[in-house]
Amino acid sequence: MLDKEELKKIFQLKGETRGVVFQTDAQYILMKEGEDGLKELEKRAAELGFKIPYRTVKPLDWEPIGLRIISLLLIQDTFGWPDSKIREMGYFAPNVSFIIKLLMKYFVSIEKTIKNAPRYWVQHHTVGELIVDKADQKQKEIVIRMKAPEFHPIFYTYLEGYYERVARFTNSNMVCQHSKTTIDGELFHIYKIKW
Amino acid sequence: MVKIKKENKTEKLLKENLRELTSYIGDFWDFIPMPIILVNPLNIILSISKSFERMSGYNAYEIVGESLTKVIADKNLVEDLRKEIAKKEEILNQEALFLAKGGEEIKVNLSAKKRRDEKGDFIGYFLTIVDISEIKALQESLEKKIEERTRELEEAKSSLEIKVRARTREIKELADNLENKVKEKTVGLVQSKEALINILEDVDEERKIAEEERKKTMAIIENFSDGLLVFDEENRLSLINPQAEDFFNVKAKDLIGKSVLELSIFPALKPLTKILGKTIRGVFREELPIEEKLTLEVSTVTLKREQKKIGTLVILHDVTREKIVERMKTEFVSLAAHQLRTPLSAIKWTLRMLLDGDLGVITKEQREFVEKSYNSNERMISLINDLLDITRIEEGRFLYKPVLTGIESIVQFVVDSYQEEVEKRKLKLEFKKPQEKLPRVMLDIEKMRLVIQNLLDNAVKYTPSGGRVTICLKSGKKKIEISVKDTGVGVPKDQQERVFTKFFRGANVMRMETEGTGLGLFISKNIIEAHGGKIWFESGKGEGTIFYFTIPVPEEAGENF
Repeated sequence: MLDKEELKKIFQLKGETRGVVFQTDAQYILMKEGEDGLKELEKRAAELGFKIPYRTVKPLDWEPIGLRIISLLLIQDTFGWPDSKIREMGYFAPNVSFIIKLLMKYFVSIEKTIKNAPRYWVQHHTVGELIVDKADQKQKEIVIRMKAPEFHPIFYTYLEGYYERVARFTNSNMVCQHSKTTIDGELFHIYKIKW
Repeated sequence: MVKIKKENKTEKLLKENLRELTSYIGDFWDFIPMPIILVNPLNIILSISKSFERMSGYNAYEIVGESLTKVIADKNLVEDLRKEIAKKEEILNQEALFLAKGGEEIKVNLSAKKRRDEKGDFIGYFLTIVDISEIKALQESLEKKIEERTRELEEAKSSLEIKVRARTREIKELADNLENKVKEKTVGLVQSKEALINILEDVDEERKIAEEERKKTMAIIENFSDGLLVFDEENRLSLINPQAEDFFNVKAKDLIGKSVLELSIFPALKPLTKILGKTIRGVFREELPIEEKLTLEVSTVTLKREQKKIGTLVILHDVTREKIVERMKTEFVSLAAHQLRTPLSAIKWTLRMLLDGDLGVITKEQREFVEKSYNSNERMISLINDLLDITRIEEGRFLYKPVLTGIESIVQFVVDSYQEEVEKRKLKLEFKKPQEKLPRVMLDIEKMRLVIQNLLDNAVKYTPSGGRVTICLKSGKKKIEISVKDTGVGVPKDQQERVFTKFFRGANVMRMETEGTGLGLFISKNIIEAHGGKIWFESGKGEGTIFYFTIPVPEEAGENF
């Protein structure tokens, strides 16, 4: 059960994200739950005092990053999905994302994809950054570190699936795993990609 | 501050342009009917069009991120495609087998367009996938049909070649046969030509002969003393000779082609057409007085060829001279008879007085001489009377005075007058008459007695002793028939035609009976015909003779019966 007050706090998180994430969310809901599912989702959002622009948003519009996290929480709550399902939703998002289409020129090789990973983050968010800590093709491992304010855990779960999908555009055997680490007293979210 | 404002303004404009472009690309990507996918250099599918979704059955979630080999089964082909597009800008119409989601295999045509980044590096390619299964099916069907048709044509060609060879052989044989026939025919035609020339020469000869004959015939016709008219089968005048033109004072050109009816319009020809009638009846020697000095005798002859009437010949014989001679003869006979009768009457009465003794008694011998003279004188008077009757007949003055009377009494009177003579000649005379009463007829009693007397006289005279003479009366509705039958010497066949002519006496009877003028039957015939009756006979030498004559019964008399 979602806490309205907590959601308000989340909504007030600093930073913005591209509108395309609401489009990919909506498309996935339509695929999985149909039109009624999407309507139910919109209704729940309205009941909680949020208007999430699933149908009207433009892919390159900037929307509050808190609203993006609320959308994920609402979806999980409305349809009773486990985290794995949210991860799956993230996994499939690049398949239909407009912005990914703009970035496809980078998905021509593992090297190029890794090299342009920070660019991906900047393209999608106004806060935080993505840092490639390791890219070792011999060991078949890539480590990406996300330097950003702390968001809701569901957001990182979603990104785990998302990054795995993007990584697989160059190698279908790649698997992404999210973890957290503290360096010099600062918390970082780590995404380790192996194949 | 101003710079920041300007940047914000520029950024806003760029955003708007980007939105429009995004919308445009999105719409275009969704709309384009050709299945298109974006593939990276690793042959991973990065993006698909709506049309591709419809064709493959995969949605973006299912296929984006997957290898191209998921839908193009031939891995080698996919690898070759990638290598080739890395070298070229585009690849066109590469045939491949497409695997749809349900496992359906679709024949497709692949075309690829290379993508480069801003540095010119190969970053992937667009791949269009065109379903050519229908086209291929059509192509295969067409190829199959073409193959079948080609086979059929080849078979037909072989069959045709065989037929052509056979036909060529047949035609050659026919041509050879034809040539032989033409040669034979040519020989035949040459022979026919020669034969025809001979025939034509013969025909020409015949024609000349016929022409000569025709000229001769025409010369005869034109110079013939009798007038000749020839009518065709439709009774139209086709020829008239100059003599006939002279008779009627007409010209052939005015008459040729005209019917008898049309000819009757000409006054000169009217009497002739009256005799001929419209259909040209049979005429034999009928007199036709044209004018005082011209009398013609008209006869018609039916012209036949192979039993079919082809026309009628009218012969006009000029009998003017004969008529004049006859008239002169008649006048002479009449004059002579009148002149002779007066002295013969005087002689008769003188001799009668001598025989009666008025002039004194004469001796027996003298009486015999006087009686002979008297009888001879009587015969002379009878002859003179006959001659006078004939002249009257020929002059048309033999008028009779008919009255309505019974013929039976007239016959009976004559029969009675001959009883003594019959007995003297030892003959049997029988008069047969019907039981019913005969109708009365119009008769000149005196002339009819003369007829019966002539017939009975001949029968009695020329029937030997022991013979039989039978007179028979028969009654009919329209006529009474009288016959006189004897068992006498008969009339020889060769003389029967002349029986009713003047002065005829049979050669056989002249030997039997010296007396007789040969005028009785001539006079009788004229009397019977004057009564409207007919007279004829049946006879043969030594077979006896039967003379018949008829008298018409008036209609009223017949009804009274």
